[in-house]
Amino acid sequence: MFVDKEKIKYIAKLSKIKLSNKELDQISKQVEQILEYVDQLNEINDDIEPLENISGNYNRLRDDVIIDFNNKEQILKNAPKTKDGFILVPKVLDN
Amino acid sequence: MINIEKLKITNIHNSLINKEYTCTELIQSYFDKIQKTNKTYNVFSSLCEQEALEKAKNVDEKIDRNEKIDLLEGAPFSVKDSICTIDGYTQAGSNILKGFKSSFNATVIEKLLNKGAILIGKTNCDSFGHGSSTKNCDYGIVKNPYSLDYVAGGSSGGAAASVALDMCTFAIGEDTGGSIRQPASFCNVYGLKPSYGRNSRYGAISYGSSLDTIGPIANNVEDIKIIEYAIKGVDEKDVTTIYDDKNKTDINVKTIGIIKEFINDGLDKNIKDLFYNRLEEYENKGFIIKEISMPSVKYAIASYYLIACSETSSNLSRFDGVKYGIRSNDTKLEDMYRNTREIGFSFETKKRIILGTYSLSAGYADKYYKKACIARNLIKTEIDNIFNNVDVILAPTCPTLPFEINPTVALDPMTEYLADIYTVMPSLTGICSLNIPLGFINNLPTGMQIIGNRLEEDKIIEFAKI
Repeated sequence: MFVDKEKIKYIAKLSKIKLSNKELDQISKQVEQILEYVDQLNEINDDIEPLENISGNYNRLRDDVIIDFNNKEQILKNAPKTKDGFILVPKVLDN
Repeated sequence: MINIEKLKITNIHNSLINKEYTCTELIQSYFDKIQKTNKTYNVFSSLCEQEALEKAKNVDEKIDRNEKIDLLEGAPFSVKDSICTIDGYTQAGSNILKGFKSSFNATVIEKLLNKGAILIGKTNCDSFGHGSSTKNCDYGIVKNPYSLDYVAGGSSGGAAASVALDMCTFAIGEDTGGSIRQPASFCNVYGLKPSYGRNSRYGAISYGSSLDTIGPIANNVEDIKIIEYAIKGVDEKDVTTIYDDKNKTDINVKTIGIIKEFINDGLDKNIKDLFYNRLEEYENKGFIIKEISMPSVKYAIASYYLIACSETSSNLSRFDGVKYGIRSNDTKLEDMYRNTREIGFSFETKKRIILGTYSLSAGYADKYYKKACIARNLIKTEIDNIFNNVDVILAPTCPTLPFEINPTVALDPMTEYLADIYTVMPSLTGICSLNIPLGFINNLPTGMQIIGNRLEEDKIIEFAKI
């Protein structure tokens, strides 16, 4: 047993995704199956460096120059709710 | 009526400057074809007919004034729904981006538009690239151009089908673990996954950032070369783009490598026969075929899915209902996040986010994510050594024929992942790979990859012409 439903429920909460009971059942089962499969990686020696960056570029910096962006309107049009040129969201801090 | 069947970019260019037809007539012919076929195959998620016809008019005026036009000028192309374009919608195949219109063009798109190529619409894909059949597309499944009972492949299924069905001259797709090459093989077209960093990813909606690449799909290899040359290059908006100024004079191929671990019981016998027939042809032309061993490739699927899902769990946190896309009606912030993502994401996307969050979470990151990156290094080291001994590697693109849309026995999800075995290795190692058609089995197309070392696109493209 690699993973139980409670664990998946907790991970879903961390991922900010609500799951129906049916989805929770299916995802628990399928994630368990995947984790069983990927367990074979544990036979690899730990003395090899992990490779995360395949491009080989590190911190290629550019000059910090302001560039005007001329399509602010479209950005606001994409927002679900706006007011006076701002994006409206539910209250962040509860009383 | 213009015959648009398998039109090449150079054909179009010559016909336009010789005034055999106008650009407006050309673009209209493609839209007529789309009108006739899109309902059946579900290739496009949105169209830009009005904008495209206006651009065509401009091209016609230029030609009338005897101005010089670029080779790509007037050539109609489609773009995968997960790449940002100002015209049309950019919904990444997902409900969560329903109605989203990008405020900017991806760098590769901007380059094509500057050369005068004409965007005609956005093509369906698995949501956020999560899948290899477009059955995870929230806007419906794309049907195979050769048989309606089968999938067009994925995730760039619409892109490959749009080319195969002559709904455009070429397409721009996105490939994280095979998403250009596998649908190209299922649709009998050419598709290039470039080396990581050769083409800018700016404007591609990220799936797995260390794996994502943007590349062309076309009916022939000459067009692949023209498009790749138009879109490649360093972009200051994508720090992972790499300089490609090595003077690669030697594009000759003498030795072809075959990865022995790829030829196993999982490979369809008929595909195997076609593949070996093709190898024999190369051998008869004087190429040396070398069998090579790549023991670490058995870890490729595990490494790929852990890395891709870890990165996607992080990348997709931006879809929270605040700035774009849909938003649930909740008045509490936490509920809004969770419900928006519940309604907006497909089942497969949720599963991948959860798998990724799990493999990155405290107590598990060393066991899963880090191990996957160690495996990646092992695979990379082996491929570097292999390219000391061979010029290109040939491999099937997919071990099976296109999947049935409604199979009698549903495919196990893990079995579906395993079908990516031949395409994830080049993705993990950042090298380039081109799908070329291999032939038909029971009227269904199949493909083969020409895999080249990092930045050796010229070599694999020239080899594909042989």
